Amino acid sequence: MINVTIREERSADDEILHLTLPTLADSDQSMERTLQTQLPRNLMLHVGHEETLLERVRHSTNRTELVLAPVELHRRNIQRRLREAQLPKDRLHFADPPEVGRQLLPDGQQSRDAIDRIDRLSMIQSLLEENNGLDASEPTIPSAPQEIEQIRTVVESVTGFHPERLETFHGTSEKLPSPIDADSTEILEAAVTVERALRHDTEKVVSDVEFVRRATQNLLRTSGTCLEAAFPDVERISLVGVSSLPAAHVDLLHAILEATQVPVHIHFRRGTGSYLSRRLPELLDVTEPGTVVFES
Amino acid sequence: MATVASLRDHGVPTRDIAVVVRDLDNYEEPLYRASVHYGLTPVFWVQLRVTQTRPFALIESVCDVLASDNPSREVLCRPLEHRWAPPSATSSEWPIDPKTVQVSMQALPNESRTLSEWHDEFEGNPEIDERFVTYAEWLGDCPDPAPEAVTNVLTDVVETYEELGLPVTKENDSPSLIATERDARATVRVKTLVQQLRHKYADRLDEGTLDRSWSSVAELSQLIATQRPGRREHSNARAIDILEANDIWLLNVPYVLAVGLIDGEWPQQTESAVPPELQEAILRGDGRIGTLAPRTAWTTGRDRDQFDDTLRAAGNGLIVTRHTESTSGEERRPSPLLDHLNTDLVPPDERRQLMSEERELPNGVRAMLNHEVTDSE
Amino acid sequence: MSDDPIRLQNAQRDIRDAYFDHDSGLYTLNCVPGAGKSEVTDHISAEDILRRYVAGDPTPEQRVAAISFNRSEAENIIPDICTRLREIVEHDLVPAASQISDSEVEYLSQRVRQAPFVGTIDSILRDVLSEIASDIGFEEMPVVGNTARQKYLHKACYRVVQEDPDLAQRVERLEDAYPTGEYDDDVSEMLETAVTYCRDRRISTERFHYNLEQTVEDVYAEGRPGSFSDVVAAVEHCVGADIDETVYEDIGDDERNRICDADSRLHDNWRARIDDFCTVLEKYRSTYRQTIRDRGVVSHTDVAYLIDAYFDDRLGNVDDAHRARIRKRYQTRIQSLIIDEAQDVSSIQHAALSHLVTSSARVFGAGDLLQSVYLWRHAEPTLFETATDDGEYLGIDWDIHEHRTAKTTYRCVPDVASAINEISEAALTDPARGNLGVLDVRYPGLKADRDSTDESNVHIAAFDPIASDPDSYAWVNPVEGRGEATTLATLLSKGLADGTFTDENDDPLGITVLFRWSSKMDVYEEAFEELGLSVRNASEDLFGCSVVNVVLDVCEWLVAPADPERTRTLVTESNLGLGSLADNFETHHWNIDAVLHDCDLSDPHQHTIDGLAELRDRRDGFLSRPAGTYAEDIIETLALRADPYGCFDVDPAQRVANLDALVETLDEWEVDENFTPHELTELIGPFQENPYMGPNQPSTADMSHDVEFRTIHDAKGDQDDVVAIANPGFSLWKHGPQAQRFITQGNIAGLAPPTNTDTLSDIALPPFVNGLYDPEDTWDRDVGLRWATGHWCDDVTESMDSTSLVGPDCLNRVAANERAEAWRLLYVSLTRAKDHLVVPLPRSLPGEPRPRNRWLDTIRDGLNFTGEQTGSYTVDTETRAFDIGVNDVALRATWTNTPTTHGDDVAVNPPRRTGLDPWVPRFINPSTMYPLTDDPDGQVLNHLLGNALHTEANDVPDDVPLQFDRLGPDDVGFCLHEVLTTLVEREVPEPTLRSLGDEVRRVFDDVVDDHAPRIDDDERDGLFTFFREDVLDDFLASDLWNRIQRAERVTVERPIDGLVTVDDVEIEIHGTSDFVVESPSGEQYVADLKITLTDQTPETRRRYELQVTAYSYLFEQRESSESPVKRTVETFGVERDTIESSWPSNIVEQRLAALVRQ
Repeated sequence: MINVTIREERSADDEILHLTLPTLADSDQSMERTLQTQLPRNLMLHVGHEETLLERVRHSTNRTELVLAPVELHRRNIQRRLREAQLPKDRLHFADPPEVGRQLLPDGQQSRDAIDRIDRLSMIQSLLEENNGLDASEPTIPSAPQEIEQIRTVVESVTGFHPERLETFHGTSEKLPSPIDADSTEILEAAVTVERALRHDTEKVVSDVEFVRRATQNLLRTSGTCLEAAFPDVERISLVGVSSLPAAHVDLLHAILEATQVPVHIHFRRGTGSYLSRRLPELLDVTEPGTVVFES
Repeated sequence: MATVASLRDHGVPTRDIAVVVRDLDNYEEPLYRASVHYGLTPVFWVQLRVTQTRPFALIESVCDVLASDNPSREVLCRPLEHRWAPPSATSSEWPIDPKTVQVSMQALPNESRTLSEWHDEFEGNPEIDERFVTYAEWLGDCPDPAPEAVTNVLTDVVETYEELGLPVTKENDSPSLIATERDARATVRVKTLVQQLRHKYADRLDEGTLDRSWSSVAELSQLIATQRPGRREHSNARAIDILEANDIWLLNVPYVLAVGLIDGEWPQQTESAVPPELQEAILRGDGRIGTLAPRTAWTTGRDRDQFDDTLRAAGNGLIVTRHTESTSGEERRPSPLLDHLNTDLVPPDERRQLMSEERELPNGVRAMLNHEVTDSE
Repeated sequence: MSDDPIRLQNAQRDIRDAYFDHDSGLYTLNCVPGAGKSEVTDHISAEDILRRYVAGDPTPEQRVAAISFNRSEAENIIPDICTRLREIVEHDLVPAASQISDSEVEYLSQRVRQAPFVGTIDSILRDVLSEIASDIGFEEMPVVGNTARQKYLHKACYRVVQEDPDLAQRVERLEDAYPTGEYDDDVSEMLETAVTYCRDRRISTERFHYNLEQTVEDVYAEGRPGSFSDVVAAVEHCVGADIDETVYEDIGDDERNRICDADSRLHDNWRARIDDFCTVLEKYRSTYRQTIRDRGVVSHTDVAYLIDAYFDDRLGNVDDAHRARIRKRYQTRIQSLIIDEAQDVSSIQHAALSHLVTSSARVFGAGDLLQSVYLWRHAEPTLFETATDDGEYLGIDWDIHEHRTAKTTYRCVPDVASAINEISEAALTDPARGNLGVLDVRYPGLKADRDSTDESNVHIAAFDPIASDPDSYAWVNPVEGRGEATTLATLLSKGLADGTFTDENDDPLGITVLFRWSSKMDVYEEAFEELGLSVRNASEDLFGCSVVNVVLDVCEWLVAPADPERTRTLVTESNLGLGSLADNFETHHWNIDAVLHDCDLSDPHQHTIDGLAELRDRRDGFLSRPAGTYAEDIIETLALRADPYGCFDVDPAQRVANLDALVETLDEWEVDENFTPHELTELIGPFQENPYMGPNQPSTADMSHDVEFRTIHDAKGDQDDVVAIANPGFSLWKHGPQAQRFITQGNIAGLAPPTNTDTLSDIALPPFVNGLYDPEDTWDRDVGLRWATGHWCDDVTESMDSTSLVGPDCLNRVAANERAEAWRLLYVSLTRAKDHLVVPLPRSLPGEPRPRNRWLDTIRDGLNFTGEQTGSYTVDTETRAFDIGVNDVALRATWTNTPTTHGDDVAVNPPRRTGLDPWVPRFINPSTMYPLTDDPDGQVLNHLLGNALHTEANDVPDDVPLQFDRLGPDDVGFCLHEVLTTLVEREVPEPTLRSLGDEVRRVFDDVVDDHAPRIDDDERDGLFTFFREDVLDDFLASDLWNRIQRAERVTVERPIDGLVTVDDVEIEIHGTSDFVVESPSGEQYVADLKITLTDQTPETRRRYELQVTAYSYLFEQRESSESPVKRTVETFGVERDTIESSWPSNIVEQRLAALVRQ
């Protein structure tokens, strides 16, 4: 079956469904303004309106904008738009968060390698075989390395292994009906155990995300000078094309906002944008972003 | 793809058309075949499935032969089928053409033997092409599978393929070089893979998680190959872009065709290890839970983002297609995303007309073309 | 959304009220067809979720399980619940509705879409299995319900028992006793069935053995015969009466002894084979147990079985805590369980489900025992019967149990309901028909809620048959005259034309023709199409299609295409159309190249053999890619979809659809594995042999068809405006247990006696036509005394009860249940109709009426059709009268609805691969533009590979002091280039450069280390010397360096790109200029750096010039381009030069245009 819609009727524009339980704020026009007052001064949120990014290039001076585009092809798309608009593409500097994270590390750490997923899976497999603290016989814990790695990734994304967040995660889990409460805490514990074991077992960095976290810490430690050093020309940082905000990314932006004067723009997409904007102020409400529960 | 062909018939430039699918996994092959049918070269902006390419099959089959104490006729000859050639070969003799390989294979006993027994067989059997002997000697000279040695052997194999095998692909290919491009990408990828293999194999030998054998090498290559790396730029200016919806963000393409808007397919939710009750609590983010980063993959949010991107990328018009029933006759419902879109249905007659030999654009699509004209006036 | 929502009524409303009045309990609803069963289940599901949400449960969709059996129905549950949810809120149908906003409804609908326990019972059990798979020995979640994989797996298991030396003799004896036959199960199939049966009934092999023995004992109720009179006693036992022994007078004493001996032998052999079978089965089961785990392939029955066994702790070696947790998880989540079509639950499914529910849940079951038609698929309707009668279900004796019966049907008009009642009440309650089986039948009677219409709603297509069996082709569609199919088609087509079967807008009504089996569909289809009706029929076997088989034949050939035997098979046995070339092939030793080369071939032959040769050459690709993909290669190469030479006698649209379906089927079967042609051939073998086991051909008719053909089983749960019952004259005993070798039904299991015992089959043993036992003759009502029969007792002995079948008790029970189910199937078929019910009936019947044995006679009786009525007549019933029309359509009306057929392009034209436009680079780099545009064909591979594109150059002069051990000329160029740009980028001051300060060497070493970590010191030092002497000095002396020194701003490696459009082809130019130098006056200077190891040739010079020109072109394209920019290529190394270009920048476009238009 083929359906056709012609551009003219911008019919679907504002009807993409609510992402979660709707709140009154969603229908409130003043939401954006209210929200903006809860946010750090240098942080601007956009939902859609990616064209403003191109506009900024048109009007920018020689300084550059650091564009964090986690999806590789999105960078190409921006470049294609710039080319179509006959705009120079050297005013934007593209990177994904781990790349930026790596460049913000102290000199000695920049060349460190991270292990990749294949390595992690193989290490998890060994952990399982040695039964080294990782107990697959716990009712919720899967025995396949892929699934364990998945758990690790999810918990990392939700908490960034930040102590406060882990505690909140734990507290939330405990309030769920039995046995979901136990399932949830076991997931949390397994993720932390695996991450700890991986850290113990490798000289290298456990994952790319770790660069982001370490950069976050370094930003705060150096009061932002590492950013200045790594990206001297950057006058603005944008995170674009995201449908989700992992804790580590939030914390990186948090640290930039706290330690530097560089303005940060987040361009959400329109399906998830209003929801994520609404959630952002609370996400920034952690102390010492980038901290992890593990002894370093 | 008939629509794309018709748009092209109407003079719409290649780059003014994009085909968008939520997940190309199941659509790549049918869209590829359909494109070729209508005389269009497609390009899929997805990672290459290296394991299904000849260069990969070649190095894997070499490992398989070396891993086996008593390779069967089929296992033994597979590298030759995949255009193995000795490192110093010249293009006039190598690779052996498929017919010759098969005829020689047919002349071999259908049993398992050791490499040296096969070597003797090749030498003694007059029906076997003499180049088989060269091959057997090369196999005999292959070193034990130490990381460095493995890398050297496989690098030689793939570089020789680049030198001698790849030109054969080009020779047999259509002028659009679809197969050549794919084979070339695979060659580059396999070269990188072999380099990665060296380190990973060495690491695992050190850790004691793998034993030193050619079958471990094959196993590890599979593993590395299935981690599909980033997309590479595609190089044919005449090819129609076929993208996954996540990748169309920010583009502005006059005619966008969104394929597969079926309930259950787009949007589709990914499974998560986290219990739904906990997901929901984190998504709601009440109180301190608000500090936990929600995963929008737990909802259909990402898919809606992507659908919105698709919608907004379409400059002149969006054409959405879907199946109404499966092959076994079960009804397929439209994606709920379409509930929020005012669309005109292409009537069955026009659809048949589009698919027919005479191929005509449905009126609704034709209106998009006219629309553009009106705009410019 | 409709303004008038469905409101539950009567029993629907009662049971819903009862359900929501309690927090737990069992609620059952017995529904006549069309009573709105789904409406009730949808409503209850939706309201349940709504109530939970309103009560504060944020994830209510996790608490409600809603299941059905029919897959397409199950897929609709979620959308239907969502629709109902919206309806409930929009129309405020229940109290909770007012407590939720519209946007919350939308949100809740989204949650419902994620509901984990909504779907088929199989899908829910699959979810459970995924939780426990690794606990019970699976490496990962197995593939479920993939018939091909299962067949393959059984084949492997069978091979294991065949090859087991301890079992070899037994297997051999069994194979002799039960040889492979066209319609008979062979040993491997019987083992397969036995495994499923044992798992379904949860019985051990020992118990199964016992069941088989029970059947033998029942058949030999008098024990092993000691004399002929024992045999007679057995006959009497089977018939249930004394036999007039005069019928055996012809049998002499000798023969009597021989019969007795033969019967004893049969008895002994039978038991011995059962013993063999069970011994083999024991091993087979343990092999199966392991193999499903090794291969990760299970059937739906296995899933239910494994779940039950897991929770029941029958698997051993399972972690208790884990099990307890999983059980608790499901029991916590599933607070409401809603089962539609509850009569179809099998015993093992019921067992598996019962572990997931506790007595604190609410369970709602809706069903109809009279629609139980899946006995053959191990449905266990008695479970629902016990639930409704005794309040026992899912292993719980429910404290609260409410039951209602919904008799009102909202589906059919009153006349149709009356006709159904007239036919079905008699048939279903008759102890010789619907009430013959174990189910306790109560016929509720349909009460139609709809209004009557003025027209007739029940129609008979009456015809004068030629004297023949009502199930024969001669009856259905005789060569001459009007048979059953033609008459039915005439009535329907004229009825469409004259408005009988159209709605108030004159639009045609939906028409479904229902069949018991698919076997007569083809004849019907032919007759229908002759009368201008377009038919949608999705019941033909995919693997019965010639063009599909050609693809598979070619796959098989490609296992070893150089094998002459394979080529012979392909040429002579496949439908490829090469048969006539067999002699040529023979002469050329079955070598396709020789045939191609030496023979004068017709175009089609040439095309086909060329295709085969091409496939042969590409065979290696088949070894590493999925079967679905290479099947497409075969289809494309041989142009099978378009079939340009008309090789296949298959309708073009069907041909395309079938090939599409083949590819899809292969994809489904493969899952994530790739089958080589050899494996594929093995996998597909059983399906090619028995196409009925495989999928059906897809229907090619789109929405515009007039009539749809379906089997009744397929249409169950569905309805249509007009329903016709086709082929009602088949005999019910056909395919009955007497024709089966292996019987598994409920508690009864029976293995037929061995076929290789000499049973003196030439001696009749009245009333048995086949003596003691003659399994050859499965077309008759019996295969002899010692197995089941299809005879009625009163047919063989006058005085006897007319409701008993002849045969041993347990086998009779099986036959009786099957018979009873056949009558329920008739009921199911009749009750699909909404507005019109149509049946073809003969005006006269050959022979006696046989209402016990045929639907035909029962329908005739029910409708009081004598054969003499014409036009219309009235049937009076106890409650009301209704009209029946006989051929009541306008004779002159003709129906024409042949849609203008456009042959789809795919069905006409072969793929246009060779016509694809030539490759044109999409991305071009200024530095390689010259070689690529100069010699595209020669350079394309390197371009694609990302390799350097070499221009014809001089050799590196001998006096260049470089070793080129580790680093070749390209590497040297790359490294030194990198060193130089890095030095500039780091703004290393001139004095440091001149004095070769530490920093210079550090940069150099870093670059070299990155590029060639293993370079030795000599080579490294040599390179450094070259750098210092031949590159750096010149660089520092250059104008470029001078400018850099004075610059306002220097950018290193600045990306610059642009677009060239030629015709409508876009080519992107992506370059990086090494240095962009801005002078204080704002002037820009772009320079590119080359390290040369050779003297320039005219070629390299042109290359550099074009590069420079390309940069000019790109800068000119820039929106912000101000004053012209100065551009050069600077070479350092063996030759020092500054290249500027005098070329006009449009030369870039020209060169690319030449490329596009080549």
